[in-house]
This record gives sequence, C-alpha cells and structure tokens, in this order.
Amino acid sequence: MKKLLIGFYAAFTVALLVWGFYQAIYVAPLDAMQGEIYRIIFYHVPSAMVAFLFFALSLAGSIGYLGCSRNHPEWAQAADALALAGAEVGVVFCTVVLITGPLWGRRAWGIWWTWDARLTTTLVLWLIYVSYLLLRRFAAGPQMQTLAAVLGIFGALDVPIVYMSNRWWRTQHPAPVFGGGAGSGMSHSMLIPFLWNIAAWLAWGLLILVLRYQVERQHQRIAAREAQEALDA
Amino acid sequence: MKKLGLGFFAVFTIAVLYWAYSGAFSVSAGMDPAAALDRKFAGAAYIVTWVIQLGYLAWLGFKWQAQKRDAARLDSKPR
Repeated sequence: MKKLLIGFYAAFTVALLVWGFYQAIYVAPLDAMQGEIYRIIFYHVPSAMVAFLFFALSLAGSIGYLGCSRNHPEWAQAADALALAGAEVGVVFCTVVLITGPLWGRRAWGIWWTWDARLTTTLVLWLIYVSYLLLRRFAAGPQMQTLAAVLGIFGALDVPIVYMSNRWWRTQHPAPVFGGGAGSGMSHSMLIPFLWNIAAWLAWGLLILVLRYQVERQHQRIAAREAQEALDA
Repeated sequence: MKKLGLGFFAVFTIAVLYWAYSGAFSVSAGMDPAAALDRKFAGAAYIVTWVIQLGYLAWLGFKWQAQKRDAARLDSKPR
C-alpha cells in the first residue's frame, strides 16, 4: 500500500514537472530586459525555496533530536533521520542554486561570480551543510548525532541571513522580486508558470526527502540490530 | 526483470530529457547570436539541474539496495 502510494505520488510529481517545464519554456513570455536567459528563474528560484524549506526541516529535526534524546529515544531517532534527510536534500537543491546562478549571472551581469552578500552567504550556507554531512559521514561514537544536531541548528541560522541579504545590503544580485516593496513583483503571465514550477520542484523535493528519510530509518534499524548482536555475542 | 525495468526507466528518462532539451533549447541558423547564447546557457542550467537531481536519486537507489542486502544478511544469520 505504501509502495503504491509512493508510486502514485511519483507519477503525479513527474506530470507536474513536465507541466512546469512546458509552462516555463512555451507559455511564459520573453523578458523584455533579459530575453531568453531569464528562464533560468524557473529552476533557480524554486530550488532556493525548496533548499530553505528543507534546511528549516533539518532545524526542526535537530531540535527534536536534542529535545527527545533522553526521554523518547525512538522519537529522537526519527527526528535525527528527518534532520539528516532535510540537510542532504537541501544541499542537493542548494548545489543547483549555486550552479544555475553563475550561468545566469554570466549572461546577465557579464561575470560568473562576485563576492556580494547574497552569493557569499549562500555559499557559506552550502559549506555549513556540506560540513554537517561530512561530520555525519566520518565522525563516529555516541556524540556524533548530538554534534550534528548542534551544527544543524547553527547552520540554519544562516538561512534568514541569506534571505534578507539583498534587503539589508546593496548587492549585485537583483533586489527581491516578491515582497521587495514598491516596483517589485512579476507580471501575471510569468507568475503562473513560476508558481507551477514552485509546485513541481516542491513535489519533487518532497519525494526525494521521503525516500532519503526511509533510507536513513532503515540504516538506523540495521545499526541497532548489529549493535544488539554485538552485545549478545 | 527488475534490472530490465530500471534500465528501461533510465533510458526513457534520458530520452525524454534529451527530447525536451533539444526541442526547447535548440538554436537555429539565423538566430541573433546573443539570443542563441542565452538559450544555450538556459539549456545548460536545465541539464545541470537534472544531472544533479537524477544523480542524487540514483545514489539514493544504490544506497537503498545496499541496505536491503544488509538487512537480508542479518535476517539469514543464525542466532
């Protein structure tokens, strides 16, 4: 039943992605200033949104792990799996942001990269979560999950800084398209394809997040069984 | 049978992505050079996005398979 549900959801997600692609390439009009290159917005911005959302989930998982580790060890393990899944899938989306951004920047600004606040804080965010994943991969011992949870909480503090960076400081990166005050916003003909693509990438992100969470839960069960067998031996 | 299904799925996915790429980001001979370059860059972003996403999904699939083997190994161990 669970497999069937995941199968249906996967099919729905693929249909949404195809529809989002069609909307982005064939329905959304050309941008008057940037022409064709602005279509990167349909991958770049939804990927950033999904990355932020999943880093927030990782934060919730990290807090949950620290809060439950003494009294509810089974809940703590589930929270830890959520924290890891959120961080890892978040890094995947953040990597997409950091690669598609320079491709866009090269055509729009004439440069691949600049050390402005938005780009730098995003790179720092990526580095923090990559270090989180490296810690989880290479550190051993009973303290590893606690250390990872603490790093996950500190890492998430960078998310609002990234979000606010082009409001707080003058940046090469464009001013906020949404919620950026007077003059910000998007024409209706671009907004609808944009919203479809947000829905599609969010659905895709949730699909791989659930898969990653399941893999981690399975890993925890195997590790617990191996530890128990080692104790019994 | 399962491997055949996975292989077919992989080939189908790559074919659909290539078809989408070649249809949407093709550059015609008389096109303005700047617009053609823009289209190539947008296409590159599309390719990179999907290579990263599908690469991660494939890695996740391999990890899942390895864990299933580990679980089966533990189940078959005499107690």
